[in-house]
Amino acid sequence: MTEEVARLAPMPGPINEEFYNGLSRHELVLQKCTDCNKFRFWPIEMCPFCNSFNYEWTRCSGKGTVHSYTIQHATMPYPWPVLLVELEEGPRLVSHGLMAPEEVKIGMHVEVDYEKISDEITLHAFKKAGK
Amino acid sequence: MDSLKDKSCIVGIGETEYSKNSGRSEMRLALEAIKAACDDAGISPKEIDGIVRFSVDSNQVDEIARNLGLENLRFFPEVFFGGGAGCGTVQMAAMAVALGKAKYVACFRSLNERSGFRYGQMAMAMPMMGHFQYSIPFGLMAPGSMVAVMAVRHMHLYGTKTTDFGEVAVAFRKHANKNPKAMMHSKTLTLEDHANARMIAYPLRLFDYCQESDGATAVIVTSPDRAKNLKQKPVYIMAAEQGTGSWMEMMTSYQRKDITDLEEYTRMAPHLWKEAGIGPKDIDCAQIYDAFTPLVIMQLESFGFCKHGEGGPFVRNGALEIGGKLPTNTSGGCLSEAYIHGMNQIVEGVRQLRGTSLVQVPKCKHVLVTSGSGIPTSALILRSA
Repeated sequence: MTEEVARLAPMPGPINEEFYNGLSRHELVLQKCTDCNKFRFWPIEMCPFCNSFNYEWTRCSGKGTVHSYTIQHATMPYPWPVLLVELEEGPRLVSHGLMAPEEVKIGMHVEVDYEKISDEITLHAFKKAGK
Repeated sequence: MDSLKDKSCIVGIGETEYSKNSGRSEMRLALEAIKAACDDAGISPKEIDGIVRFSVDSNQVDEIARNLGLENLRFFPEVFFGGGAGCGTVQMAAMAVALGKAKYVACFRSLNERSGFRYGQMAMAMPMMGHFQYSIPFGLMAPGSMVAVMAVRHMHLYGTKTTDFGEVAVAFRKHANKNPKAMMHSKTLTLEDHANARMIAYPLRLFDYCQESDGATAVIVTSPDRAKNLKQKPVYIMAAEQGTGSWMEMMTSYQRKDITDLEEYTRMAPHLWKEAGIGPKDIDCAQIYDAFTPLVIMQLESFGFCKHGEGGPFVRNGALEIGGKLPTNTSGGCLSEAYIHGMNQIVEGVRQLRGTSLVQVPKCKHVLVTSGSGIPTSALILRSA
């Protein structure tokens, strides 16, 4: 799909550059606590489950379900699905839905895709699973 | 002292006009509101020895103190998190007064939000460095869109309807139509108008969104003893609380187990009711922070006016109007009076308890006031003298 919408680009810093580096390689990597083994999002210093500082950037399956969504109309040239995706690993991500607005349903299975929005930044997006 | 109950009161209220373009500085607006609140209370501005500001307010207390000619300002905290701060400023004031740290505390909010920086356009104005980088670049362009995600889930789980959002908007508009200060005073609204309005972020349409306003509002807090010698019948602060919840982040606390539960209120509410010694059934009038209509429905659930998930049915058939189950936002609220970060709703709560509202609830004894949703927030229970 041609990128018609000017996307605002995040500005990576020390805490989250691995997240964005992963997206550039087309890998969804999140922090996983190496003490209690729970994933978390967004990137923060401490595990909020067990208060450990130890974590590894760990690749996720990229599979999840739509927990909720909105269709952004204002400021967009056409209705734009925004998904709240619950990953298999637990955390939820806000992402761009790569499907027609009328197709979006809570509970639908989705899988990760990638959108390059600038020379430096690639973002995740989600499409219908198995497509 | 183990409770703040009835240890302080609101004795003065002040407002500027509410408009799309004030034509003057936020400092000027703040000073006008504070001066008006002092006049209302019957004190000289020189008697103020405490000022509580919103951290997002552009006006610093030292400059306000210079303008007012204060020579011994003793108490000057600030409360963070945008619209969540409102009732929290009064909580700070109440604690200071109760502990003798100040005698007369002014709490205020002043903003040229419409003619200046518009929060609804924050996506265009903010560098994507903080946590908003995980939502805005994906198309979640403004606070209303962030709330829309919660509203869709609420509709999915509980069958809440967009007409329920309309009920909220229409009720508050009817109140605004009786309030000449309200920005929407001369504009009526029907459920049909609501349903046919421009879609902003599904399921939210234009009239699900609050006003964007220029203006300022202030209140004066002091002790019950001092209040005896002042002009107005005091309004007692029965309870004042701040609240958060799990996985708290500004507007997008989406890691919570249940994103339709505004935990920042749900977890605060028991403390609030306990301190006040009353419950939801005792509330005669509510002033509920209404940046977006679904948040009113969810707050009614959080504070126990109905069960979780039943906020939609609760608001039907004019429940929030005068004569309804719970008259709410009787000056029009953020949706139809003005968006002064909810400080205008504290002022309307005080008017109800003085018996001077333009949309007066008969025999109004107890008022609940809440501050901003989806952020660390605050609330008050006020009572008449």
